[in-house]
Amino acid sequence: MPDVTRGGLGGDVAYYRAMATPKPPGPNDKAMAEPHTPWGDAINSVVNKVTSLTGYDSHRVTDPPNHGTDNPFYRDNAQHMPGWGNTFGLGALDPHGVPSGATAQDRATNYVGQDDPTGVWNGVRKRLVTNQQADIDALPKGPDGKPQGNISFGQVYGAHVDAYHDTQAAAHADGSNPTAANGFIDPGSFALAMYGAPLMEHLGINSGPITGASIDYFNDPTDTATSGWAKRMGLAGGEMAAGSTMMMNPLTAPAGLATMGLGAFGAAWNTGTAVKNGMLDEWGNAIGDTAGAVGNGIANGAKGLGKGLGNLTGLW
Amino acid sequence: MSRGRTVLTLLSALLGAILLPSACMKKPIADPGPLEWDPVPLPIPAGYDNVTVKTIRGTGAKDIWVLTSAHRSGDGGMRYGLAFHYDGVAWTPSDLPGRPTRSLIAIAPDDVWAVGAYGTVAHWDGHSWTTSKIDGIDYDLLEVVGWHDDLWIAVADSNLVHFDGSRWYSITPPALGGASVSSLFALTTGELLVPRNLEGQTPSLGRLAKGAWRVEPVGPGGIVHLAGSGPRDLWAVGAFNHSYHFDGFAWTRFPTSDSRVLGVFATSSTEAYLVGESGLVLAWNGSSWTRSSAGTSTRMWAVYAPPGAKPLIGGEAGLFRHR
Repeated sequence: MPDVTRGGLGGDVAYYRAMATPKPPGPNDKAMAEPHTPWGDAINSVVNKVTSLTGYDSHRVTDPPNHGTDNPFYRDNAQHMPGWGNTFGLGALDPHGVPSGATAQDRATNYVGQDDPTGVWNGVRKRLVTNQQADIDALPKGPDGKPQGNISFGQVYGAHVDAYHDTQAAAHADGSNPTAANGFIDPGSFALAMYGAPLMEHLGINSGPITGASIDYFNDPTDTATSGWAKRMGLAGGEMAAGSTMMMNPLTAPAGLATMGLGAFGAAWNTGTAVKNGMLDEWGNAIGDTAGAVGNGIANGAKGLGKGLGNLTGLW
Repeated sequence: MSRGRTVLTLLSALLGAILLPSACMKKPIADPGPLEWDPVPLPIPAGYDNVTVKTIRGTGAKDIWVLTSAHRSGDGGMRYGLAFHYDGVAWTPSDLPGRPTRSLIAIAPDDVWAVGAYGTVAHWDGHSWTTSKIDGIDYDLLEVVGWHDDLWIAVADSNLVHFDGSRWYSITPPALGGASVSSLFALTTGELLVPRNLEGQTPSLGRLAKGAWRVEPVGPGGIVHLAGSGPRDLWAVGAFNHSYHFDGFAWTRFPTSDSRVLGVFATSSTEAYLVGESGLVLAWNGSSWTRSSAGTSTRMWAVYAPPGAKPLIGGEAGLFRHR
């Protein structure tokens, strides 16, 4: 926690101390260690190979312990994340106190955005830490002066929405990525990822590569509003298709209905977000460009035809 | 199942209809220019490959540092920090624990800093590297500039990280208006320059001199890199297509390239270089940017021109020296 004072070159100043590397283990590192089982590693090996075919990379962005300085923020602050030790408030269903709000974020930050020439991934990562640190700092303080309690699912979701928006606004303002406009995914899919990740880990599957791959593909902040929307509509379509299949069996029908509902909700929410982020303008520009290209083609064709006719007339 | 298939088919058709026109309108690749750069072989230690040059800096022709990010065999996609030092005779590699692979500044032969992943900083004292993690800075440090015991680091947000010789600070200067800062430039006169891009405003520079900030308008289009050889020879460069030169009196706009610019360095009012995506290399001759080539179409990240020696550029294809 930095020591914050006012002043110093005209702004608030937060002081930090440098620590020797590698960083000593955090308070929750053991509870949140990535599971490695033969079946889990086999699944992730396939995930990594498939992801590489799409031009992304779902390997861990950080290094093994002797070389690593990974992003420990979500592990070190797991006790302040929603669901810590009590997912959905249902303690009995919570496997060994898995800090669900932290696990998915920890895996996400360490498994996405490896190729980042425009700095957009880095900006999102940075703002997520800053936004959630501010929410944690605003929690009631205990007798020791440290924050007590948990931030909410809504705050974590809001931190993501703001991080995407603010990073893309900065990339537009400096011209480094004028087309980055893929807003953050719908809260239903986010909840599924956030609470699904620790459950996967309970089954012995490190959720990092799958979390990373799904964010790389379905929530790439460098995508345009249109391409992000199209990818997520494919996801929603898949969810609806899976749900309709499950509904054919009475035993799985309730889950099928829920899956279909999630797909429909995601489709509606993501369409709204994409429109808000300028998808229709992108379509207008694409149509305008196409019309312009077609118009130029017709004009050039007509010019050539006219020239040819003129030459023919000249021959006569 | 059939309903799902129908939905997917409709989506694919819609997606194709939207994306096809833009895919058909790709711009032709511009002439890369004459081949003017030769590869410089680096002594890559056994077990490392895919060495990407990220930054080149130094204090002179006999003290040059090349900061790279490299794969190590057997670790899949893992990347490691690897630095190479040139003493005027040979290149010597050194391992950089903790991936401080984003940026490097050489202040003196015994005072070199590298910064990078998740608040990692490394210091070279003339004999060895010491790596530290700044506690509480859990994000990447993008570009380091400054002077002895006075470092400034851009972090892709409205705050800057500062080192005063004993303490690390995070500071958010109100003068920058909340602009997100991804690059910085330090003049030898002790002034710090910061790009100030805000939506709806003309891009400007924030200038920190003698403890006070002032803001100077530059021109439209955004500023992502700064360079210069002195107060009367400054460059403010956009990501695509434009750059601004300051001659001590006014900013003048000059076209660059539609490939993304990733690095800039200037040695005088008649010599400067830009590098970037698709093997982009541009050289400034005092009146315009002209294309040059290292014979590669891969990404170029770094450029440095040591005083009295030939300039160096580098990127995914390695290190190159001007002919």
